[in-house]
Amino acid sequence: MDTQTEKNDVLRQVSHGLADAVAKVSAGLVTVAGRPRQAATGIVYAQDLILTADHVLEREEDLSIQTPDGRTLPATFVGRDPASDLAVLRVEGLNLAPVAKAEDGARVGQLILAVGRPSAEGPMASLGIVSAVGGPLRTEWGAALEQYIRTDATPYPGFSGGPLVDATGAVVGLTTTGLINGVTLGVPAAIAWRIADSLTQHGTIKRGYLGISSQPVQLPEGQRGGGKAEAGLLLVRVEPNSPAAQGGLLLGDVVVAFDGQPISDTDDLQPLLSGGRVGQPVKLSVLRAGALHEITVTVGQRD
Amino acid sequence: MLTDFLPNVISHSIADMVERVGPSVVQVRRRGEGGGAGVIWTTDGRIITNHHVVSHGGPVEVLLTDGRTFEAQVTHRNPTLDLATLKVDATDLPAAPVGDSTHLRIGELVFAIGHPWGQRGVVTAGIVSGLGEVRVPGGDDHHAQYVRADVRLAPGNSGGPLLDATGNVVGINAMIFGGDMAVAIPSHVATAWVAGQPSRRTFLGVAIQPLQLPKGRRGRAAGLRVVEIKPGGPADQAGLQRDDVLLDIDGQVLDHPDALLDAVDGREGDGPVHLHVLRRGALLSLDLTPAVQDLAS
Repeated sequence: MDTQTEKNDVLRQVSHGLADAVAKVSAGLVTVAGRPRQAATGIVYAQDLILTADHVLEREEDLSIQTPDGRTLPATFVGRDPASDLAVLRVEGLNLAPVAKAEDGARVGQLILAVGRPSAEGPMASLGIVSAVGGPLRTEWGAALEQYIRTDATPYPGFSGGPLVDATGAVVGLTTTGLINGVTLGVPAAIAWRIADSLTQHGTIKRGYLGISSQPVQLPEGQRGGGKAEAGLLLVRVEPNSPAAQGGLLLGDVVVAFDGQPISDTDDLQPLLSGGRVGQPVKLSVLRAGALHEITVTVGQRD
Repeated sequence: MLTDFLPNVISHSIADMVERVGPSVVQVRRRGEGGGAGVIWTTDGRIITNHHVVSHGGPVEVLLTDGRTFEAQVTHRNPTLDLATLKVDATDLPAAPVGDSTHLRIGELVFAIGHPWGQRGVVTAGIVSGLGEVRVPGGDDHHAQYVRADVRLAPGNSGGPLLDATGNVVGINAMIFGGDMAVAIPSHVATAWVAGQPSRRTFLGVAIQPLQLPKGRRGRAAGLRVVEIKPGGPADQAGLQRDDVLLDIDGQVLDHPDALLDAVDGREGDGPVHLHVLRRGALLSLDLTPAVQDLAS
């Protein structure tokens, strides 16, 4: 076939591109044996570290993984966070390059490949789009996830712990059915990586703490400080010496966004505070005396 | 200007490809009823489909997209691979371009054409989800290679093509392996099977249908009911009639459509076989001399 024909054949190029994306991410996917019957998928997220779904680990000992090149290696348990359904395993001598993480968050309509390595037979994949980006998500665990991804890509058995990747093969999210029973959702990569880092360092996720009490309020037009938020959280108490007080929050402030994410209900806040935020600075958008302010608060740890 | 718009180019590429390959996809039906799909393999009337689409025995009819209808002979069957070949009397059929499925990659775009729930010429899109081997249910220790795809299939898709982005046939869709996932037999398996087929076969001139027998009928649970007899063929000459129930050949029980051809396969030239038949409640013995049919023409 002459090169010109090939260049013109867009459909073929798209097809090759998708296959390339699957091949690229598959090199960093392992099979995780942590429960009877169906094995799951794990993502090589850092040197010798595997990120997978928490609910696929029904034990913390006698864990093993299988690599793309067919090696079966023992894995040790590092940490788990049932609230976000994430867990980290360490595999000595894994020697696989970590997968690429997408720079940007998921967009509704974006092409998505769900990829997994449910067995030694090889990787599997399905194609779809990002159907929704939602959040915060409250699960049976209570506070859970500040954001989640929904996709119409088929989740095959054993895909939990595997990635949702974009058309370049970069990881946009992590597939799990463990957040809401039977529903397949994606944990956004930025959140998953942050939680994985925290699990690697501490073995657990610390719950965040600001030191405020609040109640939801509607913001009438003309009292939104030039912003778009129609509702916010009115601070009715700021504990002395708390992270909120140290950051400069005042009684009577109305918080309308947390790290860019709108909040209008007290339930919105807790998911945003879990997931590895402890010790990290976050920007709060605050309405004070009719004007919007950005106030940075370093999230503390709840005892 | 919009003709250069990439999503438009992709959409039209798919539509062009489907228009090009569509005429190579047939509907395979048993007299009046829906059945499955098939792929025109050669211009001279060789069609490939799933074995389970034609495993009922009985006459098979093939419907082309141009409206022509042909009576088809089932010339070869392989239950393990779930493949069958049909032959229709034509010389000008639009044969499908067949690709090399050994080079398939996971993530590649694929398209299925078939007749889900009897609706003709339905196209669904997806990607190759997995490649591997699957244990064939009921088989002794048979493993069949397969292509899995996330294309949507339904009854009526069976036997139809799985196409790659260039419109080449890379698989024959089948749904027998269970689950909600589309499974296709790779085209290289089909190609090898067709290439290895004998060009001659034993011919009886009878169409049959499996039949459950009421208890006490000579201790048999099942037989094969004769639904059609080719005039002048071996079955006709042996004196078989429509609605006869075949029970056994030379002691080999006939409880499945495949059992009949299995029992006489390779027996041509060995003289007559001995056949037990139920006709209106009476047991008959008949001698039947299989003929040999040339399939090359």
